[in-house]
Amino acid sequence: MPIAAVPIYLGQDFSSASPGLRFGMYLPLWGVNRRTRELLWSTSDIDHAVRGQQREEREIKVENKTFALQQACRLTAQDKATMRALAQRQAHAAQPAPGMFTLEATASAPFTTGLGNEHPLENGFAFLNPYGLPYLPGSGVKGVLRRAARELASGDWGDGHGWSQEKIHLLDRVELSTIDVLFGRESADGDSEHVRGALSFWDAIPQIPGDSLAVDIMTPHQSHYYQQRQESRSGGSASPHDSGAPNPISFLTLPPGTGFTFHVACDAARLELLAPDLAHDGRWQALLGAAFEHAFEWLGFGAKTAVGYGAMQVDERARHQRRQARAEAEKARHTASLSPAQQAIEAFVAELRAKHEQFPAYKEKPNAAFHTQARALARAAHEGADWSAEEKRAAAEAIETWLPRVVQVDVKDERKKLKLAALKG
Amino acid sequence: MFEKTAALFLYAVSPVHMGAGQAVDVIDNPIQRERHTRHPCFAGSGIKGAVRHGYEALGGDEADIARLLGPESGSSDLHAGAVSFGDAQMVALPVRSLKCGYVYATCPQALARAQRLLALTGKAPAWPAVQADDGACLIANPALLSGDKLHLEAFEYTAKASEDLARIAADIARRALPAGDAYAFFAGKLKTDLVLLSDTDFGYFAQNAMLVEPHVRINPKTGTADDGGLFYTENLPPESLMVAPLMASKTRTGKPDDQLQADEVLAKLRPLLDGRLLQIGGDATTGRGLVVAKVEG
Repeated sequence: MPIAAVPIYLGQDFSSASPGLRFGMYLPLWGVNRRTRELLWSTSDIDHAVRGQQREEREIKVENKTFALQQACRLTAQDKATMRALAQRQAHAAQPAPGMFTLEATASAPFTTGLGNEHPLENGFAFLNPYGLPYLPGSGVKGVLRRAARELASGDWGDGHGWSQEKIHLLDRVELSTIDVLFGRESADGDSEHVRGALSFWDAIPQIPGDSLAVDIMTPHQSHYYQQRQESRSGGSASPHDSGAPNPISFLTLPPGTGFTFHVACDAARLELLAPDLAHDGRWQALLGAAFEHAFEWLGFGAKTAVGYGAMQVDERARHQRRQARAEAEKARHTASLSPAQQAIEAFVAELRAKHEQFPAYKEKPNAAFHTQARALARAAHEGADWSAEEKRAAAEAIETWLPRVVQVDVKDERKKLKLAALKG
Repeated sequence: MFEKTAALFLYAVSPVHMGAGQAVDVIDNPIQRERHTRHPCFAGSGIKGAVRHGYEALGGDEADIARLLGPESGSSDLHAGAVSFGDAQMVALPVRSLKCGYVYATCPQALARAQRLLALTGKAPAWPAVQADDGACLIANPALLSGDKLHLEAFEYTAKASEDLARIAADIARRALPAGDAYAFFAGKLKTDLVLLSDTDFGYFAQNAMLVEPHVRINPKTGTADDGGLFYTENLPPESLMVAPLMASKTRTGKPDDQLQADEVLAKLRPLLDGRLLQIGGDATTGRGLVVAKVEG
């Protein structure tokens, strides 16, 4: 069994550590001679097996790279709880702010990032410390979206969805395009006209389905050609040909189906200063939404996007749920702002309207449920000490309008019986 | 003269880059540190600037900015502000652990300084004295241990369970984090997984267990990384807990008719900070520097 290069007191059981720690510090990669237990300090074990025509025992090399990565990429229950708690806290922090844009997406391809980080297995991975969980840094999100905005603005993709490179905004003689306003102006070296963008891109914490990251393998067949090496095992030639020595390289990915929630905060005061027209009517949100969709479809997030990694699609269900939650919160706020009298009238109207819309032709018999409700409302309006004249009139009008539509009554009779004229004042 | 003192807890929920502005080491963009302890810190001027910048976005009234935080430089009506933010010092630092993901590490020095600061607010915590020798630690949660040892990164500490530490942890969690479901997981973890190291051992992590992020600059024309564009930025890791003094005096605009007393000044500031998300330090547009503030006292 391969071992991790750690002090002996740590032992070799790292199953309860986070994936980032197992990948970065406790990686069981280093080979041993399985018979003699000798440490080899290579990435393969030496085992013994009977091989060949002579059926003799030989030393065989067992590569540890994939095994080590598979050990590293399991998520414990603790990791998953942390992953969810982080997403929940982010959503909570984003919720009360008015200048927030939130978009849920699902990876439709594997996702990987941080491959350029140093690691003994050639490719690193971006784990966020101290959790040791994968993350997509805000800088990575911002970079991709700026590129998406540039592509849309270039006009090569048909409809630019409002993005353009025209320098239409002005700040102290510095001309800014919409891209500069939202992402910041990149000035040349030595130029002092820097302008900070209005948007802030938060880190995304991927929500991994199942309980493991995944290991992918890329196998360059022509590395002798890419690196211009003349080796006997690839024919002593540095030109590309079909008999190179394939070199499998394993690296970590997140499986398709991983959920990403992107939060973008807008500095409203800053946007108002730089480009007042973008600050209203959801203009910047619409621009950003278009850039996200372009990035999901054509660019991808993270690394290896040229071979399809990092593609995503908008999670319509989550978006729908979020809209619904927002509408409900809005409604609850509206209700809470009403007086008890107004609430009673609104509840009465809402119920009768629902019934009428569901069964337009049906009318209840007199003295049944709705009729009783109307009487109760009229009585409450007559007797309620805290009902204003305005509210009494509203109650009378609500009864007059809605009662005849759902109950078989004569409006004139009811007007007299419930003394609606008195209510109207 | 500042008459009212409160403690401002700042709990990092994203990496925080309060830059030192100069580098002499392999890290291109190091963070601010205290000269004497080498612990990361947030300069009071940085906190105050962030609060001023976000004052209206946090729901404050623009008219209050000058009289509470002082006028802009070059203003014709110069007077001192009525609020002072001190430097934030380290209370607890997340350190990667073999068990349970990570722990919140602290040390007698950090606790004593936090206790001294809290005492200024008039709400002195009754924390018992706790000590740990080098190579040893106090813990409250036995699930962190392998045998009787605690393993942080590649280091080993002999652990002793401590009721006193558990009480301190519970008190810090209650004071430093907002209530509510969204913070419940982390408040619960802070309560159970606080670990007391010696000042020396804590100092090692405070110096080295930072979050260092590599960055490249992609050239928009070639689409590849620019030469010389690779740089390393140091950040205080998320889940770090800092505390700063927040002091208030009566307003000093020189206009007696709109003078606020010190407690009114604090009362104006408290709703803008307490339980709110602030952005402090650099790299704001890439999601750095998000801290949750809590005002104590």
